[in-house]
Amino acid sequence: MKKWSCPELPDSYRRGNTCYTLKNKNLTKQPKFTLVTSITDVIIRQVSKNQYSDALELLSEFLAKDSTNYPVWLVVCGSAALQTHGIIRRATKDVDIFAERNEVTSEFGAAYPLSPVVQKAIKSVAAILKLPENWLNASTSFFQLPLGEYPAYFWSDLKDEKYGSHVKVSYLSPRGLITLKTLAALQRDAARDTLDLIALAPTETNMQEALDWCLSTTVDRSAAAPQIATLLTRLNHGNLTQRYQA
Amino acid sequence: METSLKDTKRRLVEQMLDFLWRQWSAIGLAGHAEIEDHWVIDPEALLLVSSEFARHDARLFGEILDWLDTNGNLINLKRVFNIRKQYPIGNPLVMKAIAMKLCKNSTFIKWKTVSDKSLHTATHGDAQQPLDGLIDLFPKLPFTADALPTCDEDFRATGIYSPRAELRGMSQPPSPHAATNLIFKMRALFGCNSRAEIMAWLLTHRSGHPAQIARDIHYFSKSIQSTLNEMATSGLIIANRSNREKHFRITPSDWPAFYGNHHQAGNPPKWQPWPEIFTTIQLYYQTLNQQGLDSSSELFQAAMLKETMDAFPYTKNYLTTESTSGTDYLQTLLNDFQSLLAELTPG
Repeated sequence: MKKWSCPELPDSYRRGNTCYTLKNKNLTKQPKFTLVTSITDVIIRQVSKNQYSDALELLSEFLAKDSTNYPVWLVVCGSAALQTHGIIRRATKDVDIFAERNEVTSEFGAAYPLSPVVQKAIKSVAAILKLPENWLNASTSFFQLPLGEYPAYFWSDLKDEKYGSHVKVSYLSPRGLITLKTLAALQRDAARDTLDLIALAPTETNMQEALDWCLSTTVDRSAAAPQIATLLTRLNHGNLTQRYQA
Repeated sequence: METSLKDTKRRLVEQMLDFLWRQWSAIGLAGHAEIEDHWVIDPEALLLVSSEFARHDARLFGEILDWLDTNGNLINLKRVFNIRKQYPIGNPLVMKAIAMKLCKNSTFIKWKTVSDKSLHTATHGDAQQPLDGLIDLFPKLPFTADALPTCDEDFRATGIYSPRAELRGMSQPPSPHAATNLIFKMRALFGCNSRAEIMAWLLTHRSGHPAQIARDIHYFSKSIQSTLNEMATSGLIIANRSNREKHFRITPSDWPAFYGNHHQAGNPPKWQPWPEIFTTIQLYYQTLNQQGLDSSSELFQAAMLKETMDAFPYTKNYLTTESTSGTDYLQTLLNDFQSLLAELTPG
């Protein structure tokens, strides 16, 4: 089977309906359901918005400490972006980096792997704030499609925020987040993705463009049809169901 | 935060100088120690830590040189090197300059062995080499071009600027009557070798395993084991075998004269892990001294201090920061060091 090497991933990671476990820096396929063996398996430290703002400010100070370090410009998706747009309030497990931007040209590029300097600074921040070691990670960037395959609207209406002199973050727009959450809802069937989508309150147009893109890339129409129908019904866009029948 | 890092640094230096004056005075430096401490002074650890902190007091530094000029042979250089192998304590450049000065006197020829290699500077990455010009021995007395004719040539040869100082010749040998000077008393009897520390250790602990003794007195375990076996043939040190381990012990009533005037066998002076304590304080001081840290955020200050402390696990023995995070870590750490320094400078 195919194995990926991904040193900064958490110990287990799900892709689609399959759970992968990190063993000797290789991802190996695991049964979907495993027994929880200890209490530490179910305790996940969460990061609130204030906390990750502090953490990003501190990351910036760490990078600024050495005058040879360049500032970083990150594109962030996931719960952190949802929080920044005021869409959800729940704490997040980590901050997902979707891409990196060039400080001079503003061009987008793959974020994975993060530079060793940034990785070291992330660990130092985690140590003092008692955050998970991967509180800021580019795992999403490792698993995602090539950036060129994302629709053009992904790269517009980004919300930029600056944290100190050395960290700038572009948060994906609600429109981009709707697309990513739709893809996630169809691929991993996690309740929080649907809840996030409900919170994002997508319009019919938003859902159409999101579903059209998902079906044009990685989602199989016939296999996903029942899930799409359920999702659209939950989002009060049941009238679109017919359009996405197998 | 209640006090700035600048104040913390200033107070730390003041307390350390107070402590060093007391320790050196207790072992014969011209001065006076009003309070007799109830611990055993470790001469090598004291010299090493002084090579960094005494730079803040030119008078103290001058008096230490004077003490070494009288008592230089009472320093066990093998122990200096063993301690340095394990702990990044002291200032190697200053140690080299001191050694260069001392070995001009043929009595102190052994000081020629002090070098970057013997001080393990490569291990700790603390070989401070002046790129151009000279490093100031005393930060408060910076080098100026017109000071060149009055600078100390031995220090200058190692890349340090220090005004020439005349030794006053006022230092005395360590008093054998003070409990703090137990190691010196043992060295006077047994010589400047591991037997002196072994005896001092046994007198303060009564019994122990060779590996534990070796760890505490900074020698190699095997050599201590064999020396203890030899010493046991005197009949005054008793070897006991429990399970697979061989323990060595003394009977305190055999050694009343060794405990000094004021200290009964039941209340021996305390053996302190000085190299560990001094290194912890020096690491703290060096981190506080990092350029720009004063003006950084408290969170960053906390993170930098934590990074340093975490890199040296033994620092945890003096800290209660385990469950703290963020700026709480900083406050707890500052309080911990305040308490530690207060313990070193009672009264």
